[in-house]
Amino acid sequence: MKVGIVAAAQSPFREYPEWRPQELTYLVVEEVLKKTGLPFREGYDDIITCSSDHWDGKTLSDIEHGEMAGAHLGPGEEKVGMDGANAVLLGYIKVLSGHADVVLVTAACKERDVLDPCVIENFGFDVTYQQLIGLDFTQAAALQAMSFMHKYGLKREDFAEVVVQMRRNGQANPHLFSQQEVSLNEVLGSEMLAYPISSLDKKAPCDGACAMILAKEERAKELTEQPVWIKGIGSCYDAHNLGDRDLADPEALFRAAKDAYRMAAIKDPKKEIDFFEISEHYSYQLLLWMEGLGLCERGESAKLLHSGKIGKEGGMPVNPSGGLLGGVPRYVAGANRVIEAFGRLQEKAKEGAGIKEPRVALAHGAYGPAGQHHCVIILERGF
Amino acid sequence: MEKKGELLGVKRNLQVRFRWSAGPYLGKLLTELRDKERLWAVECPGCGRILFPPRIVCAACYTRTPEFPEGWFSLSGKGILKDWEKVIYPQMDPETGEVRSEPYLHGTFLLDESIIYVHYLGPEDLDESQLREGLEVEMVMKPREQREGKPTDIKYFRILEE
Amino acid sequence: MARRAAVVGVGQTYHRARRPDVNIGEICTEAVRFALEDAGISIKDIDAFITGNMELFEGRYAQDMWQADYIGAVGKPGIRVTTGGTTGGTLACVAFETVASGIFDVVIAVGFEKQFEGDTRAGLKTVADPLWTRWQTTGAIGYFARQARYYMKQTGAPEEAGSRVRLRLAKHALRNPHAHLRLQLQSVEEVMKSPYLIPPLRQLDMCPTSEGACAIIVASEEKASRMARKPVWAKDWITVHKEGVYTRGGQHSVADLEMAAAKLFGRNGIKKPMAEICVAEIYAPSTWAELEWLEAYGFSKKGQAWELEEKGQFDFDREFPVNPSGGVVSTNPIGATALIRVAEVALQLRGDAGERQIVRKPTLGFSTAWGGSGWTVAHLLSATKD
Repeated sequence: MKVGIVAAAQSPFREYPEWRPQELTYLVVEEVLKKTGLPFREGYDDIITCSSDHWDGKTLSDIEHGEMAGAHLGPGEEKVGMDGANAVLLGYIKVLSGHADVVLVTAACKERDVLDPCVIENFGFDVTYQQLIGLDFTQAAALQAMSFMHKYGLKREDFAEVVVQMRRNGQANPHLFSQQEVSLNEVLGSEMLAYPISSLDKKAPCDGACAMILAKEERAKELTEQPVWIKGIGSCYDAHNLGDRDLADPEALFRAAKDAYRMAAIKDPKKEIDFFEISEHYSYQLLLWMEGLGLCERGESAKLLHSGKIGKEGGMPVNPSGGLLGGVPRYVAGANRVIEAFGRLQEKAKEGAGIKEPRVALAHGAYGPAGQHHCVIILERGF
Repeated sequence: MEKKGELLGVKRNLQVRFRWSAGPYLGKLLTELRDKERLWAVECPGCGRILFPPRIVCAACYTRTPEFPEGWFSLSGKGILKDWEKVIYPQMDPETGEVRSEPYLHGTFLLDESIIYVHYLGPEDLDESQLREGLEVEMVMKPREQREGKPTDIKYFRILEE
Repeated sequence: MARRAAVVGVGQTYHRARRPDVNIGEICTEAVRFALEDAGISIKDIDAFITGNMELFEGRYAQDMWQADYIGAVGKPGIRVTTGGTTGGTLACVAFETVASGIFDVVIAVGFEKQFEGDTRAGLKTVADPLWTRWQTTGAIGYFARQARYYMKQTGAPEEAGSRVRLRLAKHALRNPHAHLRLQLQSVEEVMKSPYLIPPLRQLDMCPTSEGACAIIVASEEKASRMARKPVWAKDWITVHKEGVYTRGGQHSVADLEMAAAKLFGRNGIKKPMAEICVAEIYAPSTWAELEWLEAYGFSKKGQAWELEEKGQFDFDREFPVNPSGGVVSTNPIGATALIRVAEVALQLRGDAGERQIVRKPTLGFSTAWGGSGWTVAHLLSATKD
């Protein structure tokens, strides 16, 4: 049985002092329902939402998001308490299980409402050791970046080059918080947060929401001329205790990708996947995740970056959308990767996009400290 | 030397500051309450349901609600007492974390516009034995300088003398 | 349905008010070990992990990250779903769907809560809209006090009615070594000595806050046939939500329960629920809610559940056993509570419920979850595959 994405909508990612988080959900759901002509409530069998009680500042944040998505006395709603790619994964499972024919998936987060995100992140660490030394996700990322640098002789300049390339790609993406290019020196000169991560090495916090409709094959073909099938999925947890992992070895991502490739019958992702939309919350992660996905040998990602091969015009585009660094809200991030891949596959050959007739794409979401959890989704256009 | 079987624990306080947006619907309701001592509701343009507080979409028929003032109507602030409850067990104030241990009264009011609203029943020296369903109530506001654009700008609802 | 899924193992901790001897991961490990032992398999046989609890409780963030180290999820796929009080019910639904999808053959769902480690009342107060109702919310207790007054008014039930429910649940809990509150309550008068929280709701009418974990192992048909226990088949399940009660303006409604039961029974050809369903583990946080909701699900006519209770018809050894485990009023580690309902029904259908085993022949069981702003998740489990 095939399951496809039939429509998607995203808000621009910026600061939204004028809307509440649930209102952002409503706006994208209204848009995606209009695109498909589906009536609210009757048009779909289930709703999967993705939001964070911590970032919304209320327990059961999905009360509001679900209501805005049409859950009232209707399809019901379930909340995934992880990065948005996992919400897409659950939506896929729901349709594949036969329990639903059409599923609405939403993700929303207003990062800028939270004045103390480091406190929240700190409470994501185990109580007995890591929390008490004051770790937050940026520091965990710094530890990972350092391990990575030491293992393969990488430099800050390599990570800064990631930012330069991502921001360059991001110029054409109207959703990103910032569409401005940055120079290598600007990155290297930006405020140091936790060595080697400086503020431009980190994804900008912002607000926004996105939504998409998944459907089983027969319904998908009714709802759109250009369904994009989900061909493979994979997810995997790594160890929580940072010291239990070789932080420079993305084993969890490797396993998640392996499962996804197997499901999608892909033997060589470098040759069989046309482009990749991955979640780089910090600049070094683009390199590390490329290695985990098997786009190059371990330790060779910087070389791949500098070769130009992963640019929009290159042979193996990575984050032609500009990735996350330009600013995509957390939680929305993984779902945004799926939507960017979906959009590009739907558009086929785009003028000046440099990607001719892409057929297969990979979307990836990362969650937890130093990418403790990964989710990989393989998409293939069906038209 | 450690005591045998001693269980250790870690105590921490989680304090996170937020900057919530009220949005155009709730925001308008709260500013009107603070400045004009008026509550507003909106009639859903799709199914006619009264939405109080006003919000962006009706959950029942999914019609988008227009922003103020289209379809909005102000409430009289009066109604009748439907139900009341004495909160006996100590309550923590979710905004300050302080515990209030003196019992107090909530009332469920059926406002003139057929809207159910729960708020404090006051004043503090209210004689509970006189309470019964159907008594007329009206909203009592805090003095202007104490209002913050919150639902607590209403001090309480009081029973109108017969 | 793509393929059938069955519950092949269940495990739960011995629920208590406080378990200072274990941390969050360790309490989950206990439940996982019990479940693996029950199913006769090892952690190696588990393909994926489905976890959940109240997302904001215990002052934790991204709780599944730390938990992974303890429950065997490191190096394996997993997902976290957090749907408040219905979390346990949702975990079961997702476990069934994951297996039915064909992607995984054997999955484990783990729900837990360590409520003493957080401020439960604070956690529940933050359910309220931060700008509209948070200032005045009395949380779950206020909601259920209002519900009790509403039920009494609608049905004319006397104040004793709630206490009768409490007696039954206490009697059941004494037969359940896993239950948290196992009280030797002898009479209605004794229950009615319990102090008021908000009249007419008394302390004994309301569920406790517990620390505990529950795990169920769900497998495909093929794998199920190779497991130690008789499989309990997931027949059907449903989720129904209502709009935010805090925006609905305090209007009392059980529309979610009614709709969930009507749809679930309707599409499974169940016309006489009390006759066709053998056991019900329903998620009711208060005694009065249990009465009203038995009516809402369609087990008894409106306004009559309290009379059936008086006649003892819901006792574990009677016509229609309700909450033979002692129910939520006896045990409530929120993230696990709804999953415990599924686990208890599975035990009953297998004939493995020990002293609390129902007398009536168990073929079809009903478990529910409740939470949020009036949400219901319900499952039908069957002893036979058809």
